[in-house]
Amino acid sequence: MSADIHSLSGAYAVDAVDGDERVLFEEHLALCPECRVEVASLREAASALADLTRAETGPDVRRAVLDKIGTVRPLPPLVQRPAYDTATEHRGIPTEEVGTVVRMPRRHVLTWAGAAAAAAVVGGVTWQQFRPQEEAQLTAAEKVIRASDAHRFQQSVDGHTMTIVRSPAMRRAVLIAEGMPAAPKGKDYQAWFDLPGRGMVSAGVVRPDASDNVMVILEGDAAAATGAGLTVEPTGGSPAPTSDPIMLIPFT
Amino acid sequence: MSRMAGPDRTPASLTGRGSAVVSVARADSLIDWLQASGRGDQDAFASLYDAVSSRVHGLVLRVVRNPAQADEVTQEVFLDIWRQSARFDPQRGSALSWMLTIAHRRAVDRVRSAQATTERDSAWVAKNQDTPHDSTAERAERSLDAQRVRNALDALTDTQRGAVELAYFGGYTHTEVAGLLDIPLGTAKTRIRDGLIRLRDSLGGAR
Repeated sequence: MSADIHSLSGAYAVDAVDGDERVLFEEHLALCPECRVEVASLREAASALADLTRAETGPDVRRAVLDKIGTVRPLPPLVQRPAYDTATEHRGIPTEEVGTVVRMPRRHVLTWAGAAAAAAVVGGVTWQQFRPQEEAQLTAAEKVIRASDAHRFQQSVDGHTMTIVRSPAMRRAVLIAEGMPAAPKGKDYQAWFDLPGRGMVSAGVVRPDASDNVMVILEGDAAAATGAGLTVEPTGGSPAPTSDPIMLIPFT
Repeated sequence: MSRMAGPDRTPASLTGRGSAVVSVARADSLIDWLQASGRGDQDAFASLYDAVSSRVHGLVLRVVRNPAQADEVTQEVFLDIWRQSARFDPQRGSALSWMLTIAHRRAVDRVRSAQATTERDSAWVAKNQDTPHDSTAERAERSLDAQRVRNALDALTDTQRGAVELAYFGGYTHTEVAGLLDIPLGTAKTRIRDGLIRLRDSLGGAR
């Protein structure tokens, strides 16, 4: 990618990027080993600055933390998954030069905050370690994102960027989101393709991972679809949307 | 202001909060504790907490500023560290950097979401900048650590240092840094990167 995106490494290392820049740079990171090394080394250096500001926590904080961990199960380690697995727990998404980036105006009716109001937004660790991206280990989702005809469509939902990358040649689309809280109890997010003559057809239930990230291949013929949407539905999904979309992106 | 030695301090020091443990709390111990935490070992996590909490909390407090909010963020950070502990990969960086990266991101997220709805709380509550309750040896080590970092920062130009500090301690984006310093958009990004590179190289030489 361009020298321009490379020069974001410092700002990225100290979280001095906005949400869109973060997504773009992380896509770049997944492809650029030099930048991964640089970011790690700059984070190391920045961490040393914490030696200048040390402050003890009060006893209440320590007690609260040690009490709470007893009720929280540590996540399993990240392991290399077989190529057919399209779920993801990390956001290092490789992409070739993408085509047109279309930014959509906010059209959602509900925000995530509204849609997931009942869900306690514990928030995910958004810092992820990048795994080696070797061609042979590309997941199906990564293959779509790297397709030469991949186009990206983005929309901001409640301050977070949702991205759909569509490859007409592969007839597939991938939904990518970060900071997306789990759906409220008894609900699931469900994706939809807008198919000419058929209306909204389910493209599958979408569940954010433990870090509130999503990278999933949508089910169905993405090449025929003229757009995609996301709604909150009863657990397991519905045959047709039963609520207003929180995201609606035309493929134009 | 003096702080009460809370009831947890005594058992904490018995289980290893003392200066001896902290002074040997080097990279290997942090990694061991983190990996044991990933397997659910709460005692290991307590040791980890005692070894790194002053750095984590100090950074969070510096960015967030509001002591009550900083306490909340610090708790969230440690719960995240606990949850994610099995995902730390020592091949890709130090344990301390991994934990402080989590802390910094959370602190920045907090101030940015707060600023969307309300002015950032500007009250800097000095009383919360407690004198650390620690031993002479620990204080000496802290002051050596801090001196090493201050020396490294001296290698930066004033403009680089200003940009790095606004980004790291201020929690501002490079675009906001450019606005605060009244410099062109791309310039802040470059200063932050060049400053961090110089800091890195300078720290490397000082080790």
